[in-house]
Amino acid sequence: MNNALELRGLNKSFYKKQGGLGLFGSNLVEHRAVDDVSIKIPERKIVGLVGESGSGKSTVGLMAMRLLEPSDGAIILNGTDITKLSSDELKPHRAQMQIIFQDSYSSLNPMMTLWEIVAEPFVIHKMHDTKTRRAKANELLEIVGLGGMFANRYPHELSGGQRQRVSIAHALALKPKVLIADEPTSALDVSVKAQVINLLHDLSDEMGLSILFISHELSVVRSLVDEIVVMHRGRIVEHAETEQIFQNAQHPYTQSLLDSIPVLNPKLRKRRSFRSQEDIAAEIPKLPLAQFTSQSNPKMAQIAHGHLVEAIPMEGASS
Amino acid sequence: MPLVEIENLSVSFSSPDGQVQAVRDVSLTLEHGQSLGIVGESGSGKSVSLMALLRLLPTQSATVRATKLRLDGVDMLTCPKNELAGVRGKVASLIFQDPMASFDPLFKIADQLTETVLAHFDVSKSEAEQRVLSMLNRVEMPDPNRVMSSYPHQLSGGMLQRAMIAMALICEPKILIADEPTTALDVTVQAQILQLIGDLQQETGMGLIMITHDLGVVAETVNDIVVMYGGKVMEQTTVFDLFEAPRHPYAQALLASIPGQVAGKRKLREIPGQAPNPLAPPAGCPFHFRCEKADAKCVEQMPVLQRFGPNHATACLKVMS
Repeated sequence: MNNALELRGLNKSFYKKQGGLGLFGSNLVEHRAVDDVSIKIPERKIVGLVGESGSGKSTVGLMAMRLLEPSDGAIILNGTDITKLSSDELKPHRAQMQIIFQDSYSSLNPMMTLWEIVAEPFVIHKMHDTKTRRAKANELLEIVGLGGMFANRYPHELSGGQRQRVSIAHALALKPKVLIADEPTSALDVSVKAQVINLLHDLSDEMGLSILFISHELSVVRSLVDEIVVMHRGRIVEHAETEQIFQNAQHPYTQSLLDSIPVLNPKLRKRRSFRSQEDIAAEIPKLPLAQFTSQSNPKMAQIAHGHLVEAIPMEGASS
Repeated sequence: MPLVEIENLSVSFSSPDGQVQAVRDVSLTLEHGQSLGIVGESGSGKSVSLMALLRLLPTQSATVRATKLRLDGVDMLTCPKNELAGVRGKVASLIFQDPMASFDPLFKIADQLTETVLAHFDVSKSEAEQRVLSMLNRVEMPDPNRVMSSYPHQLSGGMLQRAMIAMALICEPKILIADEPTTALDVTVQAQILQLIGDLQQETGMGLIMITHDLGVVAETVNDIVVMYGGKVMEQTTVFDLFEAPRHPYAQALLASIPGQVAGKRKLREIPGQAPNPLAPPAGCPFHFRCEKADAKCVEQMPVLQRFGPNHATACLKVMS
């Protein structure tokens, strides 16, 4: 299967000044926000990228879009390496990959009507005349369930769920192959959350969209994605098919995420014990060297087909 | 005497576009030491009901009407303005979704918490600091001595929410009102904070009202539940009955739309459409636009809360018949 998007060994370091007085003697301390992250998104598939605040998951999304320059690594979009392209060279490729964010209010221009917002990508890419732009914008709004009267409204007249639909319509304007969705449902009410998740299902099925769905909620990704990548402190710690993660998680951090999903049955309430960072570090599985087969990431062991987990190599042990 | 008694509460706000009817005819009670969850989506009136009880709504724009509004026996409707702060401070503590916005960025955590103690108790400054430190320990704050001398921006969201809970409990309230206390937190931290609130409620015997849009939160923390929609109470029952046998179509749809309950990639059951316009609430059931079971009667006639057994009441015409 071809990959719509491949991220190869992405790294991002931020530097913070520490010590010293003013200009003199201060040294830069490296903070590695993303450490050697590789993810493949096959065509028409949805991959979930899960982790808590500060795990580096949004930084990965921004680097994939080249909205943030990676310190190292490569971004391959439909077979083309776009990592080093200049902004002019990048423009045609940008049309193939779009991003939506958590806060749809701040990503929509309050001065523009909905159809103008959705048609703006055509203006930037100098496509179509005004009449066609408007017709296409109406079509897109129709697809996301905002047909008819909505075209001439402004963002402030909409609810959170409707605004997120406008963001999606805007992202779809240039018929992208890849959509990066960074916590698109986190700010939404439960009933509306389901609407937006179902819309992403439809877009993937009907338009062949490949999606990187970034979220901190494992329960939300379960019904939507084909594979789950779990990030912790900038690194991938586990990667497997969705149900494999739910049934057979091996990494202590993944388990702590699973444990924190609320139990929807008050009769099964239980006291939980929580893992500290030290507990997580101590519980990282120790696996025989033979399982460390991944060329691209030497810290990951393969415990089943397509199931990678961060582990500590043990010489001579049998599995 | 119940801790909280709200009877036939209605709240409306005047806006340039007309009267916004935020809460319509809501009644609820909470006994001492009990826990209640108020569940609803944005705009359902869940927060406004409690703000009305504490008389925290702006008097210029908000109109509050009720036949009874009592907090620990005090009639909040007739309580003179200059006594309100005293009643609130003695009886109720509030924590909100965004702990960052509840702290003053210019003062250290220790200053802000001791200020609260000094305002409520006649103790020395060092005694107040001792109480703060022991309360920080009680909310399982990591490294409480460092936290005492930190500014709010130096703490994580989870630590700030723990500090907020410490501040709320240090006055030994009879009731803790938590308004979406974990919505802004990571899932792992959310689970920890919810467990902490539950533990503290058990230990201190205070009442607890948990306001949230997340059914997962109430499933973990409270015993009784009120489901609100469009400013009205749709269902009132125990959390056990709600999860086992929800009667109202809205409660049923809400439970069914929670993602991740079953294995496999599949579409979720969604609730089509959106909440009613509070400027012009429908004459009939506020949920009828989105309800699968609604018929012509639901459009015209407002359902009243009907009792089914001692612990279950539902406002739905289709459930009665």
